[in-house]
Amino acid sequence: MATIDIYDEEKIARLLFVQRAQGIDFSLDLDWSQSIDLKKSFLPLDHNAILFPKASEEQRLVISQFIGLMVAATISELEEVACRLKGPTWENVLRKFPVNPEIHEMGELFYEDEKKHSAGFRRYIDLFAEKVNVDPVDLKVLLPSSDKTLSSKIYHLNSLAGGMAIWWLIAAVEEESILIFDHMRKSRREIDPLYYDLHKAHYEEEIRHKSYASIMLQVNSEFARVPHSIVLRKLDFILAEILNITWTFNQLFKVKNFKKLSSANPFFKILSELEPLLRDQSSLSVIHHLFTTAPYIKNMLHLSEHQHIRHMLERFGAKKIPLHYFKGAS
Amino acid sequence: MYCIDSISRNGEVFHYIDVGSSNQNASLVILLHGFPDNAFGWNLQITTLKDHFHVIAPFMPGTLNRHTVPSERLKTEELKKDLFEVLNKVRVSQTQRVYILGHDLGAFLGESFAKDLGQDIKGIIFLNGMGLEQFVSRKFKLTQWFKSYYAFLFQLAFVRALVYEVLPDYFLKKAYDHSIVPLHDEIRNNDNRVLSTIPLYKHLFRDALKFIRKKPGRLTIPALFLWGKDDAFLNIPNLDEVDQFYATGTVRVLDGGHWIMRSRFDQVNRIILKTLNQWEKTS
Repeated sequence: MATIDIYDEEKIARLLFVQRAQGIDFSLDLDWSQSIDLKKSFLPLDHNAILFPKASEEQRLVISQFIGLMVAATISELEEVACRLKGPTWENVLRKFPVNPEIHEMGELFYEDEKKHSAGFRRYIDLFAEKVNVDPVDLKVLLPSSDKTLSSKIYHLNSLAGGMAIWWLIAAVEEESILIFDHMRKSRREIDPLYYDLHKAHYEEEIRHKSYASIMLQVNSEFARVPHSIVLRKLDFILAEILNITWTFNQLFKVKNFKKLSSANPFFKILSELEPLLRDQSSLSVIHHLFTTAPYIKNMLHLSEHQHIRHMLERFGAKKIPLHYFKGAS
Repeated sequence: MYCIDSISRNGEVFHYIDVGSSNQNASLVILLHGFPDNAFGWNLQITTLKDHFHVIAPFMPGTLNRHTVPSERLKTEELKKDLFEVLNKVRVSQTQRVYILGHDLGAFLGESFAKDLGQDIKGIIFLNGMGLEQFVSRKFKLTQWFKSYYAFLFQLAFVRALVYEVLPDYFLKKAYDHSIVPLHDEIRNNDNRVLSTIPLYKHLFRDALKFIRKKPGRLTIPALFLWGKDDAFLNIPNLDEVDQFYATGTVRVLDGGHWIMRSRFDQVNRIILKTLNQWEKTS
């Protein structure tokens, strides 16, 4: 990805203009009147159906839909975290290290977009809950959440100390969501149209504003020159990786709550039937698959494997956890 | 070549470049150079601004002609009186809009002048410089103390003499090298005339003491801070600092050093022109 010169106010103004002109209204530009097609998948699966090689066709469909909901919830929650930490991780940084008003305006638009995306994915989850006749609150108990988690608090503390760990997470999640849509494109006909359209709109906006995380990291790199900032710059990505891995595993453990909703709808009944299939595998084998073969999940656990992130790590001299020891065939 | 005019006050001549726009209603832009520099240091901006504005670029006493300037003449109050005389001479009417651009020490003078003129000044642009009160507000910033070490050395008469009379070329080279002025830039041909305002540091130090305990005053004049990010002498102002002194202050940081209007003149000129035009519309 071409790097943006943060001092080139004309170029940044131009990018801002394009982002504003091509912005998508998630309420009006998506056809929310179309019902969710429960006969279609949400995300393409590999031949192992994540962790369930012996899953039936019906189970594969449900797995695909549930992983789709998990991805939707992850994007929604992590973009919500970014918005909650706007003050300490963005406003305070640019007040301390102002570069030009265009970067500030671009940031305002970035957060507007993030709020919009978060609300869009949340709306989809609520629609799904309505479709399968469960309370959205009960459904969300099964899905990733970032509200009042330890991770959020640590990101906040990191930003108060002058760290930029949240921006590494933002960069990685944005890259991941772009890759997810690239993957979805190949199976468009099999995917629920509303889910596809939501990801497509998200993808288009992410492509336009994904440079912003890099801009913020560059501002910090250029101007934060005190010794502890230099140390944090080296370690921020490692912190983001650790928090991300622990958060991901914490969210995955929520699958134990499937049984609570098994009587509500066949969808949850099928989900709860997957648990025995998981028990057939050893914990070590499950963890190994999560890190190496499970699509979507392994990418969330290997933030440093994203090409864009690798370039940024090199550019900013940040360290990463040597997770390549866990890499297997994808 | 520029038209260089002058005023005379109490036996001392104060020179200034006067480049008038053909439009008699054009607003006035006053360019105040810093140290070690003279009004010719603004030539890259004058070339652009003269087509849109009436441009005045004063020479600080001694920087044009080789004559000894009495130290008292370099007090801020005296320099402001000179500027008032120039303004009264060149201004076509009391309603003509006036803008100030100040670099380095010129910014100290410009800000003080703007305070005195009040609503007559419609905007002020600081290039790697700021008002004295704002500078004093940095009294607890260790990095600023380190960067400003020379200002303390210039309080000593023998140091001033050493710089001005014994080692001018060495000092000028060091100053321009630290400021990332391009090697081919014509200001590197400056001689010790541009050092004649060195006693300004003595007067500014005394003026600064007035602001140590003073509560900051906030100007309503719109202000733009244009800064080379690698300024070896002054820290880039942050927005909290700017907000203390200006109701409408903007900071723009460019890739360059202390003489940003030389090393990035294209970008600087573009920003200055755009800013002045915006202020023209709103004032």
